[in-house]
Amino acid sequence: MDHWNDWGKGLGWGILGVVLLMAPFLLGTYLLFVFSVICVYILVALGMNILAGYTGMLSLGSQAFFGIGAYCAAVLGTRLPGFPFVIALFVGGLLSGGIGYLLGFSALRTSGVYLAIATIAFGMIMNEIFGEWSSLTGGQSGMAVPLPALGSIQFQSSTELYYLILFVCVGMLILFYNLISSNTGRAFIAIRESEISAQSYGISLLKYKTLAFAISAFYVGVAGGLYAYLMKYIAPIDFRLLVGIEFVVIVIVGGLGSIAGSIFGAMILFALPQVFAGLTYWQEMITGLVLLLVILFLPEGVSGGINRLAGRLRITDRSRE
Amino acid sequence: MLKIRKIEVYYGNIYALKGISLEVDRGNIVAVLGANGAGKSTLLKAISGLIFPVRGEIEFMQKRVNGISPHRIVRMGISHVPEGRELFPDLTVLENLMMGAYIKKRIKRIADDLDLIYGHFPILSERRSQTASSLSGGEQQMLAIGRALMSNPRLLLLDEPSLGLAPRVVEEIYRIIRGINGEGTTILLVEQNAKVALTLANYGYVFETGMITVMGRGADLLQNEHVKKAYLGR
Amino acid sequence: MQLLIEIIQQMIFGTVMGCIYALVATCMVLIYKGTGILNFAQGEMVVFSTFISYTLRVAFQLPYWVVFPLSFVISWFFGMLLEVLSFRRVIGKPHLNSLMACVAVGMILRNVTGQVWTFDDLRMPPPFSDQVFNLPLGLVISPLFLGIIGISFAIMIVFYLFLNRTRIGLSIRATAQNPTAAMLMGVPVSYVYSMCWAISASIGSIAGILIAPLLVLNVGMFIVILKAIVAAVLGGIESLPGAVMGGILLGILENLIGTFLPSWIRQIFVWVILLGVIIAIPQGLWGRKKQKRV
Repeated sequence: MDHWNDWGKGLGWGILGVVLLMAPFLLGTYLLFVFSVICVYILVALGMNILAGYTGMLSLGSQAFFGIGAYCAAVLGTRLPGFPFVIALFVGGLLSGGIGYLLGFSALRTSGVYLAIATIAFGMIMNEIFGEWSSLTGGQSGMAVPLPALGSIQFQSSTELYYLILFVCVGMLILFYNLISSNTGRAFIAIRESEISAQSYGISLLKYKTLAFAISAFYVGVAGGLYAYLMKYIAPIDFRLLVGIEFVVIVIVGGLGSIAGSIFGAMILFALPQVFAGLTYWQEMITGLVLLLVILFLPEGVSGGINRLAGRLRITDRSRE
Repeated sequence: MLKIRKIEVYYGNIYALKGISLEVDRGNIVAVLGANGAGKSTLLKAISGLIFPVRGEIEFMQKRVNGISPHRIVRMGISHVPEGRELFPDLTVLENLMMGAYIKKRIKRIADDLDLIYGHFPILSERRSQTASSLSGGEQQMLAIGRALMSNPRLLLLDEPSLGLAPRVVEEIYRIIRGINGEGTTILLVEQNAKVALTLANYGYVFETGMITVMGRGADLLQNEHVKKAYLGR
Repeated sequence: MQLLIEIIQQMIFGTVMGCIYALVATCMVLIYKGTGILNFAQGEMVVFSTFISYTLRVAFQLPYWVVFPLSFVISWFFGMLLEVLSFRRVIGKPHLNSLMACVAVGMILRNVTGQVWTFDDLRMPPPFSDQVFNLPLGLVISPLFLGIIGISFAIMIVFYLFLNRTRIGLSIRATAQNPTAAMLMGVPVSYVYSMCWAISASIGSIAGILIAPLLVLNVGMFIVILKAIVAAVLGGIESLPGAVMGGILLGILENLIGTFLPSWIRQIFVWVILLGVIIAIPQGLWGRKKQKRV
């Protein structure tokens, strides 16, 4: 019975893999673009999940790391034409990770609501810097993002961009899964459940909280770089507080603490505006309504709700309530 | 006065009371004894409305009480002094007492009751402008009891009044409790300190993991072999 | 000497803004003390009420001495409605839930306000003359300033008396300290929660009427109000007098910084203060460390 399950799972992943690879041939340009954006948000969701879902810390400032990653890609591509995009993404991720690590120190002194407020403040400060450092970032009006490059090769078409993003996403997903299953992942969960107990097991809050922030920022930073390549133009308004809120909405709606939840959340958050296309004025309200309804009635998010229906546990530990 | 019939109560996920029936007659002092976690506090919370039983009935003066919100139960004449006292830490002694009289409207009546309480607990009168958190353990217990009395309850529920207090203080508090009972208030008392409780009580019940194992008159329980071995340290 | 005059002038402006921060911070601290929820939607609530006041004043042409109390009452019910619809289910749940619930309500409110009225700027007629008078030494003042300061202080005094000298006020303070005990005293705790939200919304509406003529009435105005969070944290999130002091202090500091440093620094100044306070003095300037339970 059990290894039938394994066969089923393997087959499922296989089919999924084929579908994803064939996507450019099945979908039109626009839908491919949507797909690509969803992948970016999945990465964001993974990053947010490390903080909110696994370690239990709420950050409303992650949009700053999104911006750092995005501006890194843009600036490096502009100043150094032909700069390999992989390295640009990596640099964006590392820079975000480094700053995230520092931000993580503030999590040692604060928790819960105070931490959230601190991260808001951080996000506001970074946003202001994006706007003021005109020489580097083009100021409030933003800057254009050159195509992702590898020396003289440029990735121009939607198909090429899609494969690029898919490649990065899958890689990061595998990394994520390994992380969660490792001791580090378990340490995160232990901290979420009870900081005091975790400490008595010898888990250093200093080490793991800052690490969680750093890894989360890394993911969001890389996602930011991909976002920049996709959108081809970025400005400080892309990294305002509302964006950070939407990031949290993704993981709450999707379900905290699960990979499936991250995927659901990204899909829901991005699919909704598409469904109501042309109603940009309504976007904020719809996002707010969805968030509110989820919090009031489905505190575990969509994946948690599905869990309850199916009565089974998913890939990782239970979602946070 | 108080009739409890076969109540089953959950405390969170724990099956705390497994079909308890007991009675408290008017004018009596009834003690409920047992170890930690036996369900004693849960019993009081079920009576005062902080928890609702999933099965069974609680009747007070012929009126149904289970399933009713705590703030309405107080108005029916039951006052609960919870475990840990649950005072209002930053309010003064006087303000705490005034909160006790929340359900009463007539100022004259409140003033009279205040004098009565100060009569039982003179130390509270001295400290009336101090915050509750600045009092000693014994004084806090007195404040908690005094506060509960401000609503002129017919039935007073006391949860571990001796907890954390020195023996001399415990004696004094129990003396005062006897006095309160003498003035006509029925008392249902939960205690770990069996000896003190049984010396005072007319009737007693022993709880073990959510069920009643022994019951009887106070004097009889003091002689009961099981009770002596388990709770009186002999 | 010129510098000194400039400083005093900025302090006057700062006190005016500070009174508004103080009012809104008081609203937030009331809700936090009473229900444990940090109301991130306070800004949007204030803006919403202010738009209502705008309609009362401009569309219905009601005089301000009618608009003030009418707006107060309407906002009272509005606050209760919000609590019943959304925040009631969130009390006692983890902070993440209540925080995001507030954020969600804020988003919805902001959007609804823009849809029902407009996303553009509106000019709100001032409740007091905004004519500027010159004082000796080159200082300027205006009846509007005095009106703002006066009404703010009046409200704060009335609120203080309400909270500390009335039976209802006592029950609110008691519930804030120990809801379980309050229930055992016969306090209908859910009414108390509703009342906290109602009062908060009402006071907020007055703050909105006072500030809107000074700035521009606009859906984005909530950011200004968001700074009240900083004031509340600065003063101590559990301290009502702290909210007042924090508000005025913030207003004055903000203006002084703005005078002497480039404007973008003034923008981030508020957030830097917030970060600093949270990391260094989390209980705020007037707060105390976590109290022990009795």
